[in-house]
Amino acid sequence: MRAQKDNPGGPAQNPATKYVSLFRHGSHQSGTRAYLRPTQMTDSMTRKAYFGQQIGTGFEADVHSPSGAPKEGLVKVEKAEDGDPSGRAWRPVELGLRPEAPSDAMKAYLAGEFVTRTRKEP
Amino acid sequence: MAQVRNWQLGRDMDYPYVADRPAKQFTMIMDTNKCIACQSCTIACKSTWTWGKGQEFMLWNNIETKPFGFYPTAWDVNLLELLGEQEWEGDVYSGQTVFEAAPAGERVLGWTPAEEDWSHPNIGEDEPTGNADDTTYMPENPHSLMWMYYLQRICNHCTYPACVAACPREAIYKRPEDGLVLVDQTRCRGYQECLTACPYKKTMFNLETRVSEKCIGCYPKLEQGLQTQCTTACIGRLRLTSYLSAPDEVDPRKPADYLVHVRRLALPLYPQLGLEPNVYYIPPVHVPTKYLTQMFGPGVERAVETYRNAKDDPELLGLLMLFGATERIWHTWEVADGVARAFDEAGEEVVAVPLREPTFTRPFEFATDVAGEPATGYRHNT
Repeated sequence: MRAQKDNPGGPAQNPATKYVSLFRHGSHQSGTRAYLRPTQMTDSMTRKAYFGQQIGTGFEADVHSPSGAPKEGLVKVEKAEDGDPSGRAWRPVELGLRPEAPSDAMKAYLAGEFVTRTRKEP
Repeated sequence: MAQVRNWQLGRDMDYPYVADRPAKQFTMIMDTNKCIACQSCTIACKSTWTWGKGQEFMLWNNIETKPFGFYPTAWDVNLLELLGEQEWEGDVYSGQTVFEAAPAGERVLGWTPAEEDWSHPNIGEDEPTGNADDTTYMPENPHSLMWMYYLQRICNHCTYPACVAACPREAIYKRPEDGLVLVDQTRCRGYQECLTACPYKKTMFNLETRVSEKCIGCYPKLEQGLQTQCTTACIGRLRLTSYLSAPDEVDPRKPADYLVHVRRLALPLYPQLGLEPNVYYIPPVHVPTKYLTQMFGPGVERAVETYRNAKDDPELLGLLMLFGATERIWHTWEVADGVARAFDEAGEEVVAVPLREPTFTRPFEFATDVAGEPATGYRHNT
């Protein structure tokens, strides 16, 4: 910790041992500092089930079992567009193109109702 | 308006120009059942043709998940909604095409995508219908509750292109030698009428050059007798670049004629729109028939049945096995002694593929050698 504060631009090198840490912060530096890696702390993590449309939070075997959430999955989230379930949804939902809220046209499309086929009498 | 014959509709229809079929027609056959949406085709196309300025959003080739995937957004739902409910009487289309349903003063019924509609090529990717909680995964076939599949899309190089019909500059033309539909970059003034007219939304506007462009069928490769980039990059070997004969000159020895006209296994995309598109799809076997009829026309049940029986049909199986087996365009094929062979126009063999991959049994190196016991088990590590 001291090393990374001392060297704002340089490597996080321990002045006593000369050990250079790969990570400058967090429990990545030590396997004993946290019981789980941050990528496996799934209790409040929002995710979609592997198959189907259900969004939920918490551990989901299909999603987290192989390796935990990937590190690159932990990102800073900023608002890009409307997507609040209580207010305006993102554009594809507003257009009625998503499975949870299809428009009348989308429902007809899914059911194949834009075309009917009458069979000719032999 | 001229009257032209559209064999896919089983009737004549209105089109602004008289019919002038090319000497041979570029075609691509897609086997939707083999696609895993790896987008190798998309990247092969992108890195060959649309890596320039103004082409950032362009995917002349794209794979979209159906039914929730679209590029551009909602392209087919919007058009079908505009056209309304239409009808097939048996195999004859009694509804209206996009030319016949054109509003007064227009040549084609169409809609114009917004700029943002081109920005989400992966919308709905891998999205199935229904919920896994509501059903078992595969209750029956075709699946009624949960299904999805991948649709491979390039320009259809239509026999009656809506982009050609709509262009006020006559800047888009159909090459007489192979039926490719191309945009003359020097004649185009960027009015974007073709973007509105093409129901498949496969003409695109270059914001840098201010003119329209589209899939060119890799014509520099075709002219050397090679299949397109998207075809040869396909790891699933689901594509075939070939040529289709006119409907009254069908030659069953040619692969595309055989699949499209003789076996009727490969079907056009949205034939009811009236463009006589020249990309043909072997429909997915697990998708509800009504949806498939809406998308590929009235022949889907028969095509699915034929595909399901292909394993007992050496001639057809051999032809399907030759997809993606060579970069060269081939013209005839034969199946004999468990091997499918493709030939060029001169009759020279281009490639040979076994119908069944040979298997080999390794010699029994580590047999247990215990007195009084048969040597049947592998030795465990001890």
